[in-house]
Amino acid sequence: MNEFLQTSNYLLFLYYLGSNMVYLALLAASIMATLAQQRRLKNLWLDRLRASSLAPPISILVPAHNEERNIVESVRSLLALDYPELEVVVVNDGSTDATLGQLTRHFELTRTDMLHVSEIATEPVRAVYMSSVDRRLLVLDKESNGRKADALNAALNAASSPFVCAIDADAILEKDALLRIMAPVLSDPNRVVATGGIVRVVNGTEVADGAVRKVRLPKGFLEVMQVVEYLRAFLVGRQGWAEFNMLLIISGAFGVFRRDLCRQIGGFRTSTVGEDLDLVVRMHRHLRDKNEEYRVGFVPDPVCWTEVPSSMKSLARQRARWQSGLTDVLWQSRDMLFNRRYGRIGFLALPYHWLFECVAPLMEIVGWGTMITAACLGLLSGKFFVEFLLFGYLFGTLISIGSVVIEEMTYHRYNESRDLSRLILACFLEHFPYRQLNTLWRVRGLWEFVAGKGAWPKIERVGFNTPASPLERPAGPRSE
Amino acid sequence: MASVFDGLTLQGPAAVVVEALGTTATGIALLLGFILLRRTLRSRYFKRLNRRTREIRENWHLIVSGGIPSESWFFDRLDRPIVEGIILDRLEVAEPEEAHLLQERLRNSGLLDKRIREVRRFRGWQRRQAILALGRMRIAESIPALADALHDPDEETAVDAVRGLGRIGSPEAAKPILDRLAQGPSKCPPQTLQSALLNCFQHNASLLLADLKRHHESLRPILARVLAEAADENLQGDLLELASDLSAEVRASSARALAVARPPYALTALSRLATDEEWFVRLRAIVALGELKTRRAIPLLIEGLRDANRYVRLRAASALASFEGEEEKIFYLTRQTDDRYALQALVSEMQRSGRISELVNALADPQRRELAEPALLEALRCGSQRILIDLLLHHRNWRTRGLLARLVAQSGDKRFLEQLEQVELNLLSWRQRRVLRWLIHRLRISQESQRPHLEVLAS
Repeated sequence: MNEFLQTSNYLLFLYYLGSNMVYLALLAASIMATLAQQRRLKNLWLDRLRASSLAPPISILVPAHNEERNIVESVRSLLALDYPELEVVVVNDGSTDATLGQLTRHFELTRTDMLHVSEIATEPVRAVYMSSVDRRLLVLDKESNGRKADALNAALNAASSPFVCAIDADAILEKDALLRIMAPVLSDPNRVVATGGIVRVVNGTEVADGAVRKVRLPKGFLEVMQVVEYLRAFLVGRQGWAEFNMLLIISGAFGVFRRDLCRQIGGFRTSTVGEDLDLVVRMHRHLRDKNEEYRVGFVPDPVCWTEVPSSMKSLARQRARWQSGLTDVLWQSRDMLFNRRYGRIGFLALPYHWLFECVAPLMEIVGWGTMITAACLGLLSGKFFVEFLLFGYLFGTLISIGSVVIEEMTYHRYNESRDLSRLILACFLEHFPYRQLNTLWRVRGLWEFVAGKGAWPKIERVGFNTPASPLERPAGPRSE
Repeated sequence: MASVFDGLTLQGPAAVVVEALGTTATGIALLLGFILLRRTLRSRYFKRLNRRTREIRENWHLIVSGGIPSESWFFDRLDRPIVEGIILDRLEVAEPEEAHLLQERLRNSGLLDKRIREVRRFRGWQRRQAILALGRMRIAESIPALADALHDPDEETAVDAVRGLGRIGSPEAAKPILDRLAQGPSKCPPQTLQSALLNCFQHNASLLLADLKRHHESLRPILARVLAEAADENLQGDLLELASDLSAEVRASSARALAVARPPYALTALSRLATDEEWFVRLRAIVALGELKTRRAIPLLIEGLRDANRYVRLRAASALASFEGEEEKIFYLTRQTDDRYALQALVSEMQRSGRISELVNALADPQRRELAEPALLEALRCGSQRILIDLLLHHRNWRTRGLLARLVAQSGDKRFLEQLEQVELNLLSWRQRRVLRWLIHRLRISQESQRPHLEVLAS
């Protein structure tokens, strides 16, 4: 027993040290990448791209399921985006509310017999509608199978542009977000196959006419914790991985993909709840199988704003679903692990996600158990126990504050000193009890995967600028 | 019992933890200090910057005219970037006369020479900043310095130099870019390259024709694409030669140039390109034929509707949908082809582009009705039942709904009747239900009256 506790404590210590070293390396890489990106932006001249006839057209794919509160505002803001040539494909995915009615009323939709070729198999599309107000809007009314991926595939079938941008129906894009997210594509059109943008928390922020007016932190502390998580996940995690061309996650809330490649690999997989992660992993697999040179990029400045859960219950469901989706995708791609053909993806990115993302909640719980047992049995000095806990606490805080520093140095969205103070305070307070709860939710997600329960839960929307109430959003940062 | 880590306190994990604890705490303190210090310094800097910018703007006319000697601001580390920034921003929107004045100021004050020196002397970010500023100045004297920067080993700096030369926007600025490309492959993104060359040849597209003939095979597609974008009605030269070029890229680009330049032989050349072996050449030719907006192009576009490639068919449909007042003829000619896919592509596009709704709107206009009625009946025969039912039930004008109902009733279309019968009556208002029932009744009568004729024909 003693021997077991000693060995497991030692292994857990090494595990913990390893994960911290990876986070530190990601933080350093992302600080450098962010600074370089800031300088690069000055030379991009977005104004000229805005007026250029050479910018590649984009189709924005918007799956909408019971989105009557937000859909009109969202579509309006999408049609008002600064981009020379875009089309918006909204999929009314079996909504039982007035989503389609709202769209029909506000955009004067007319049913058409437009040819809809289902290159990727989906549930039947009942009707295709065109807007008389804005010809760039196309609405598909399809039967739902409860999967967002199916709606995205239907939109992918209807999209006619070489690039597609998948976004959530409740998301708000900044006016020049598309121009910015396309920057890597324009710089290297032959190699860049997908790019992700940053997703930020809209709760607490003033929104009017489909645009963000004044950025503020949310009032609830649960939401502020999530702001810190989002900053850490996007500004440290994704930026760092993208720097080494090992990015596996492009948020389903805002990402651009090459359409032909999406179709080649069969579109979004409907049997998973982590369809965004799954698509990127399959892109890596496909391109490495074909031995093609490619890049999956991340741009930290095109901003997409989205609502996060404001109640513990919906947050728990969301986190469990993310964990279940992550585990599912990793399991599906297990043959890529340590496979020489998949290079750095198989040897670094996937092992990292297995070790420090997928099984992390289990390791954390086992770690707590063995350390407390060892301390109770007197196998672990109390002093060391406290020091180790303190180190864990401070290191986590350091990484979170690191992401706030990147935010401060570059994008500087939270201008008010009060917001900054609350953000920093959240960096210190998120370790107890939020972190432990998060671990439990993720363990539940693991269990749901093992039990085969991964599914999209019912979604409740509160709409922008309305008092907070429980809601669920389909995609976000995932912990990194 | 001794602790498992007791023996390692000095050299093992415990020692590491103690050391890491101190380092992490220091790191946090430093990061927090950095945030606070940065906020304080930035706030003071911006206050000063705003104050100086206001003062400079108050004396702007004197600064531009030279009333205030440039030495008074040029050597000040805060003032110089403000003045330069204002001049460069102003240049983006200035009329030629004002732009000339501002460029003179850049020359006389020494700002231009300073930036040229920086491009020649520095490397990395400083060089890139200077290139950016020189590009925005749009002064021909900076071309040699920017041309040097094209050979910078750093890829991004070389790309910035291409952008800078593009901003100057004269054929002279394009020359170093073309020379550089002639020396060997460049890693500059094609988009940036084309955009820069397009700027340089925007008003002198004819000069590109000579370059196209002279340059290496690998460069010609890029130049052809630029020619296609820069082409205007004043484009002189033999585009016919390009239309029969060996390179498919060049042929495709010539199609676009032909549509813009519109030489007398444009239709003949485009009709040949519309049957090219490469699908993207045919696609460009079809688009160009649509842009010519001549009725003589309609038969060629209808042929495009029957193309083996889906994209060509869609583009042909889109071009055909843009011919206003020709809908009836287009529908008729398309039906003559007996090609179901062609018909489907046309109907889809007519609906997408709003032509069908527009035709329905025209029913309410006595002057347009005569043309709209046969076109709508043709559209109905070609498969536009669903959109017409939708308009019949939801059109904002009740009179138009009535006119459409009468028109459809005359048609006796069997498929229309079938689709009408599928409409869920309980989803409609009483007024809509009344129209629908009347229409179904009329269509059935029309069917009944046709049946004896059909039976005779069958026997």
